[in-house]
Amino acid sequence: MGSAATPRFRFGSLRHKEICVPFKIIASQCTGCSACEPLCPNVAISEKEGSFVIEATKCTECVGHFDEPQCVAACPVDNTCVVDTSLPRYQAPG
Amino acid sequence: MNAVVGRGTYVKAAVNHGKMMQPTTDHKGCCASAKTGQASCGSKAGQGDLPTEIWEKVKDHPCYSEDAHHHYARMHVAVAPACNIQCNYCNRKYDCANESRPGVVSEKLTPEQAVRKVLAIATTIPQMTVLGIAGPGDALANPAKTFETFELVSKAAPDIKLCLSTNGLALPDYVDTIVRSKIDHVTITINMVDPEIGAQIYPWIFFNHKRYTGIEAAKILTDRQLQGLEMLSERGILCKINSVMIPNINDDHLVEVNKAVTSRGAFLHNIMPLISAPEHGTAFGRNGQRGPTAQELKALQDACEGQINMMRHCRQCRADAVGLLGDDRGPEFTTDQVMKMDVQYDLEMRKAYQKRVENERVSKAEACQKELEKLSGEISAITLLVAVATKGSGLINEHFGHAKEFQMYELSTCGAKFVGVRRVEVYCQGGYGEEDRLSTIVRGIRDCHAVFVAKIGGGPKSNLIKAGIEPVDQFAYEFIEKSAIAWFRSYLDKVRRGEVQHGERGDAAVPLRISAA
Ligand code: SF4
Ligand code: SF4
Ligand code: SF4
Repeated sequence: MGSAATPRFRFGSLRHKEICVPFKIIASQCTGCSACEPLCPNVAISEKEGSFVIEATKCTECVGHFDEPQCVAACPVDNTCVVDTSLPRYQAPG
Repeated sequence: MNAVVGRGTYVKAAVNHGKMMQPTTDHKGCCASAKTGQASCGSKAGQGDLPTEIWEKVKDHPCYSEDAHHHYARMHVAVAPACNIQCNYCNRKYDCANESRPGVVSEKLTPEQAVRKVLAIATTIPQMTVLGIAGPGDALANPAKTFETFELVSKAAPDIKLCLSTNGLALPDYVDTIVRSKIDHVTITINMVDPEIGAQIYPWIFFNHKRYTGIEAAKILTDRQLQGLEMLSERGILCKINSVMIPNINDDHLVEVNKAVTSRGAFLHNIMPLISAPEHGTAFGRNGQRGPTAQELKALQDACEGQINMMRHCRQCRADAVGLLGDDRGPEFTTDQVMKMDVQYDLEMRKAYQKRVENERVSKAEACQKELEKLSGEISAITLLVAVATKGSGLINEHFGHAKEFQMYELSTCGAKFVGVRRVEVYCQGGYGEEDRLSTIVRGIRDCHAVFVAKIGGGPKSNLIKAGIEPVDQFAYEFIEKSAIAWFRSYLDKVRRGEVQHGERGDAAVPLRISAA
């Protein structure tokens, strides 16, 4: 998963979280099925106008919790929960 | 059609058998199916051989008792949008295709909205006896919403029976919760017990925080489904198994599935046709996988009958269906309307109404029994199909042109046996029938010898006669089985006197048209 092209930041964890948004949901594809929502270990996913969104500062790519990003694994529509390449990837603190 | 060599052989054989069956088959054994409680008149209003404690559970459940489905209604509430597997016949933009027809979207409800809706409908439609949660995704992939809804409903309306539908993946984890919630019916969709076949039906599952694919996924799924079924049977919960018949993939194999579920205590097996069209956007729709014909479906259902009841009155209802099977009143009860209704839950009124329904069922069975006695001296190998236009209550009470569906009965000297339903688009709108719609209906029931209606216009009448189907309207508003048997007796008479040449009819298309209802 770790792509070399994506810049990685090694700041203190707090600061780091403020600037990382690794995963996003493409609203136009989301069916609003809610499958992803209860699975997120960081409670980063919530409903917004019939579609679901990932809260920017909370997503940790599930690192330390699960082997696969839960939202990606559960989502019925391929390529709907995707890495937001405009933003840096999450780096586990420490 | 038979691209996969070796597959499909069973069904072909069964179909051949079905064809042979009409004039020549060894007639004995047909009466044995009366045991299932679905044949003849439903003596004792349908109880048949069922032990009384089971009959009590199913007698007013429209899905579990064929006889009950003429009289009682069910409703679904769409509180469970998420799912934990992917089926190749499902497009997840729409409702779960295991319980619903493809291409249907329900309005999602919160548990609180759902309860209000249940109460409103229980008051408006007193014959509504069953609440099901069947999606729009998987009931057990949304456990919090599903069980909260059940809990609220059982507090507010304790006489309503609760049931849920699931693909079975999460089932073993929730068996105890199901028992505690007083859910007495569970439907599990089981399409295979062989992971190699499963891999052709399920591209992936989500289980234990991981996505599994291929044979590994199908293996987990089948293990969990069968384990869940066993656990429920041990606890005395009635299980219905739904299976989707997919020609050349699991058609032969469903006989194995039937054995596997029967031996694990399933109560009822419902084999449904795959409904597949490119516009549904499903994997099967896109790759041109066809659904079975009416005769293939019936042949498979017949082959599976014996140890377990086969359900033949399934309408593949939508996740927010309301009313008698086949007559969806869902559109009358949108969330906005329900929220505005002033609801007084009146248990006594519901009981009084249901008592009247019970009396009606008894007189229906008695009338049928009398007619059947007149048939007892007859010896004939003739078995044929007839279609009936009905709005429910076991009566021939629908105009041909208004019928949204036809109920199918197989007639023989053993009586009238309900064998299925054909849905057709309503062709008569504003009094004018359209030619092409009429011919769709004729194609949909062209394996029938007669169609029983309350009324029929001159045009459709002559079209039916031309197609070799006899329109029968002299039994308008009478009981279905009794009338069908009476007609059959006179048919046998005519054959004996040489006035009618008895011949077989061809196969019919399973009508694929999905009406909005
Ligand atoms: S990747 Fe994991 S942490 Fe990030 S939103 Fe998805 S489920 Fe939550
Ligand atoms: S699982 Fe996918 S489709 Fe369902 S709500 Fe989440 S992002 Fe949307
Ligand atoms: S279980 Fe139902 S909702 Fe889930 S993928 Fe299969 S048909 Fe669709």
